[in-house]
Order: sequence, then structure tokens, then C-alpha cells
Amino acid sequence: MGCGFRRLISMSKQADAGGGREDSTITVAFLQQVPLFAELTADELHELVAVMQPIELAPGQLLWRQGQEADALHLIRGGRIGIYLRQPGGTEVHLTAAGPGEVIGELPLIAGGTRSAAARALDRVQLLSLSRVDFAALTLRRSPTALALRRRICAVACTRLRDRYQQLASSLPPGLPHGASEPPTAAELTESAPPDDYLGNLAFFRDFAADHLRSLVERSQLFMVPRRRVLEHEGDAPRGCYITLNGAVEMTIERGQHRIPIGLAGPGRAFSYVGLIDGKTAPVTMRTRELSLLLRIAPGPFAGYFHGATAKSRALFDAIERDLMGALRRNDLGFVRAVGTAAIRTSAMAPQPPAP
Amino acid sequence: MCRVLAYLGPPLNVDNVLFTTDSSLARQAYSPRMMASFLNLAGFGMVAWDPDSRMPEAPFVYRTTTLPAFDRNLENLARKIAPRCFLAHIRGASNSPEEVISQRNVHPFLYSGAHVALAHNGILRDFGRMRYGLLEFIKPELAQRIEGTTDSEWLYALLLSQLEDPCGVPGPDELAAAVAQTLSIVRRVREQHDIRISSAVNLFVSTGQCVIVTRFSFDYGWYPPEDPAFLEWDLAYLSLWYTLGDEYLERGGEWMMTPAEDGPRSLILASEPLTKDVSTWLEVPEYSMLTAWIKDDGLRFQALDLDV
Repeated sequence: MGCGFRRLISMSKQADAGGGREDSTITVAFLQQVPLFAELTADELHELVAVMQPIELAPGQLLWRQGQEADALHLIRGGRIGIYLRQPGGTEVHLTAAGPGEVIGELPLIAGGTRSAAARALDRVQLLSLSRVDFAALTLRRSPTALALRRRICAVACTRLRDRYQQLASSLPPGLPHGASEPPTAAELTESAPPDDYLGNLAFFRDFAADHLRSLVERSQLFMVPRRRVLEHEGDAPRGCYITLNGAVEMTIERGQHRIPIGLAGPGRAFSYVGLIDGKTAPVTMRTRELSLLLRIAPGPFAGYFHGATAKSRALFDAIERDLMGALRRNDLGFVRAVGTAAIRTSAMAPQPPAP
Repeated sequence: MCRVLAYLGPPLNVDNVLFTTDSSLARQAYSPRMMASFLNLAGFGMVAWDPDSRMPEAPFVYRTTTLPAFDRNLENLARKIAPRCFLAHIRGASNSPEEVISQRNVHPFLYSGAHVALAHNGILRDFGRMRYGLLEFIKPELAQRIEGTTDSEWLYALLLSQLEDPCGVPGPDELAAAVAQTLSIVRRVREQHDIRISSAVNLFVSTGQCVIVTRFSFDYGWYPPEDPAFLEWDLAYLSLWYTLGDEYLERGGEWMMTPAEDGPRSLILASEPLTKDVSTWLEVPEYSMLTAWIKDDGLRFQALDLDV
């Protein structure tokens, strides 16, 4: 009911604006210039335009406020939008501004959640809006348009994550991490996979059919890795996508003696896949914080799953997409404030227990 | 698991954070937003320091097995007091006849004559097997005072035993070292007893002058495969958040920290943010210890990686 109502408003607004096929063609031509939509065909773009709504904002008008539920992607056709972050303490920081041809709020289209910063019109602004509801409808009927757009959004998310990490790294004094990484060795290979019902409870495998999950485990390698092991340093070539089954792996940005913890890959979380998606080197350093049982999907099979169109590959794509959006949301939430308040010193609290 | 709150800064009306905000501590007892399937029904406790009160070195202590939402005495009291430092804890306990619901098990723990209080969110799994292994690290006069049935009280006695003077007022450095030492001892005793199951130890420790919290777990991510309930409760790393600034107050209908022009004066640490809008709260990193203390020119704040 809600979806149909929204669609009616969208079509009515297009009609008021002198819409129809001609207007749609103009919009498609505009979308083709936007990198996010560049790989979609004209037919796919027409399908998208049919569900996009035009919006106009007056100068100073709020598009969304920080903390508000994210419900749409916005493409700027004219004017500029400013992005503002409210910090603890109430001060507002102007993060950036976006102009014609730029897309804002594309990640919540998949991930949902709340807006991590406020968006406000800097002058008179014309937008095209694609709602989560309409996008979900495209996804549910397995539209190739939706799948193509989701892959593009994943690539955008990887770029965004790298930008965030770079911003965090620039807050630290220069210097590179110490020593070399030690990826899992053949001696650490293990046959002892956890029971299927345990795996099925982990977030990463939530939507896997039982036979797909078994097949994935059979095509991958299982490693038991001890605590405090650097599996991958920032700048290393990607060696595979890991999924933590037991234990925990910490992601950090390290410069000399300083480091910033970015996140923790506990059971059911994946890591080291960003470089496999965008073809670049590892953006962060990965270190085991506990004895960890890890599933590794080699780069070849990962590419097959990620770009495939079978039900099996879709399950892995969905899981990676979820994990990536979660990582980005966590970083969006804390990145600017983390610079000023919580850069963790490397000097660890690691006392030896006294003799009784 | 439990819900915990710590505050350090200028006088703050307890009512604001216990009852008023849209995700206040009292509300987290029956409607926690960052716990999958658990209610916190086993009691409420609070230790509050007010330098303007009579005998300022002795904190005000409140413990009850009644839930805050039904506790009219607490509601009335919370409107009246405005301490500069406090720890408040709502106890969660598993749904088991083995659990003992009693005032003796309500946190924060604060032995008579001592000046360090402790509250704990988490659980030391298989504690029965390792309990007496801890005894050799606990001073006998403190071991004799353990009267409850919780692992948390043993952690408290163990922590006090790491201080040069268990009844003194340690500075932030000594207290932080004692907290790390406590965790290090627990790890050693767990290993001696071959205990390798995920056990969260989010500690909230205070003297009224400083607050130390840990977001920590032993063997995080390891569960007994035969017990699916573990996954429900323990899969996520136990949450811990903070916000800091000048003062915590309501502006334009929203509760928030006001800007700190000359460095922060106030710090709130909580198992989960006190407002549904979490955008002005920060997550404490896993495996870390935060220390905050008051100096003449404001609040000092330090975060350290905790690798014990």
C-alpha cells in the first residue's frame, strides 16, 4: 500500500513537471553521465527513472538530519548540498559539499540505518530521489538493474572505506607498521569445521542454504591461527577473503608506535575482501586478538562467487555486501570524532601476574 | 548480562540519566536496545560521590532487588541528588534456579572502609572450576569479606588485593595498573584450569576522583557447541559507549553533551547510549581500557589497548 502510494506521487510529480517518455529520456541521458549508473543499460536506466522522484529544496532547507532514518538515495541535478556532522558537545563540522551529477546517501539504499551526518541545501537544489522501498522492490524481483547497481554501490563503499581510513591515517604521525605480516601457513590448516547449525547461526551465513554452505566450506581452507598474529599489513596484496568462525581478528591503522582500532571481525564477520573487490592492496592491518578459526576463500573462487549470477554466488554476494555496509556504517559513525578523542596508544597494558 | 553507567564531571542530576532520556538506564532494564534477548531483572545499585555532602569521601550507596521502573523511592531520590561522580548498575541474571537474587549480589561492590567501587557487565564462564584458583591472589582479609555468590565480587576482591593499600584512594595510574593486573591473573588461572570459553569482563571502577572502564573479553568468539543459548547471548562483543563534553543537558528537546570550549569537563560511559540517536556517542574499542580523572583545569581522558 505504502509503496503504491509513493509511486503515484512520483508519477504525478513527473507529469506536473511536463514528464512522460521525453522527460524520462532526458533523465536517462543525465544518469548515464553519473559514474554510479554508468554501467547500466538504457533499458535499465529507464526502469530506474520510472521509480525516481524529483525533489526541490530552497536554500538552507534540510534534506535530512543527523540520526534520521535513511530512506533514499539522492542524485543532485542542480545546486549544491552541504554535509554537516554534529559532534559530541553539539559543535557542527562542515564535512563536504556535493554538486550536480553527484550522488549522496547511496549506501543506506542497501544498508538502511540512520544518517551519520546532516544534509542541507546550500542554494536552490533539484534532486532525483530513489527510495529504499522502490529499490527493494527491484531487488526482490531479482532485476538485473538492481544487481548491477548493488555491485556499483559495493565499489563505491570500498572507495568510501579507503577514504575514511586515509583520513584517520592522516591524523597520526607518519611511519609505517613494524615487521612483516605472517599469513596462515599449511601447518595451521585444520579439518575441524564447526557443526553446520553453529555456522548457520553466524551472521555471514544467515541466508545460505545448507548445501550452499557445505559447498563453500569444501571449496575453502580452514586455518587455526594463534593470538597476536599479523595476518596482513596495510599495503599487502590481497590473499583471499577470510571469515571468522571462532575467535577475533582486529583491524587497525598503524603508523609507527600509534594505531587506531577500526573494528573487530568476530564470529560471522568477514575481512580482507576490499582489495579483492577493487583490485587494490589491503587498506588496513589485520591481527588476531584471540586464537582464531578462519575460513579463507582464495581470490579465484571469491571472484567467481562475487560476480556470479547463481543462487549460490548470490548468497555470498549478499553476505559480503551486508558486511561491507556494516563496516562502513561503523566507520561513518565514529571516524571524525575518533581522530580527536580515541586514538589508542600502542603501549599496551600487559602486566605479568605477581607470584602469589 | 547487565547494563551499567558511569559519570564523572560537574554535578549532574541523577534523574536525567536514570529516568528522563529516551533510552535511560531504567528503561534499559526492560527494553535494552543492544541486547538480543535478555532482560535485566536482578536488581539495581548505585554508588555516588558528592564533595558537597557530609563526609564527602564516603559515597552514597543504594542497593535494591527492585527494578528501577517500579522503585518510587529511587525516583524521588534521583530527582534530589546531583553528584559529581557515580556508578549505577542494573543486574541481569540468567533464567536459572541456580541464580541468587539478593542485595549481596547487587553491584557496584564497595566494601566498608574501602574507597574503590566496582561494577561488572559480563560473566566468567566455568567460574566454579576456577574460583578457588583465584584465592592465592586475594589477600586473606579480603577473601573473608566475600559474602555474595557472583564472579563479580571475586573480581572486586581480586582488584583490591592488587592495590598497595586496599582501603586507600589510589590515583588513576595505580588503579589502572591494578585493573590490568587483575585481568592478567584471571587469564592465567583460566589457562591453568583449561577454560577457553568466551567470557566478557566489562569493568566499571571508580574512586569518585577517577573512573576506569574496560571493554574486554577472554577467548572472545569461542563457545561450547552443545549450548546454542551461548550464541544468542555471547555472539556480539558486549557493547560500551561514551560521550564527553561540557555538560549533559537537554537542548531543543534532545539530550546531549554541550560543546566543551576549553576541553571536556563531563564524561558518561554506558553499556549503551542513553538516547536513541546515537550519533553523538562513541563506541569504546574492544580490548581497551579508558581512564578519566579530574584535574583542577578539567577532565583528563586516556584510552589504552588492553593486551593481557
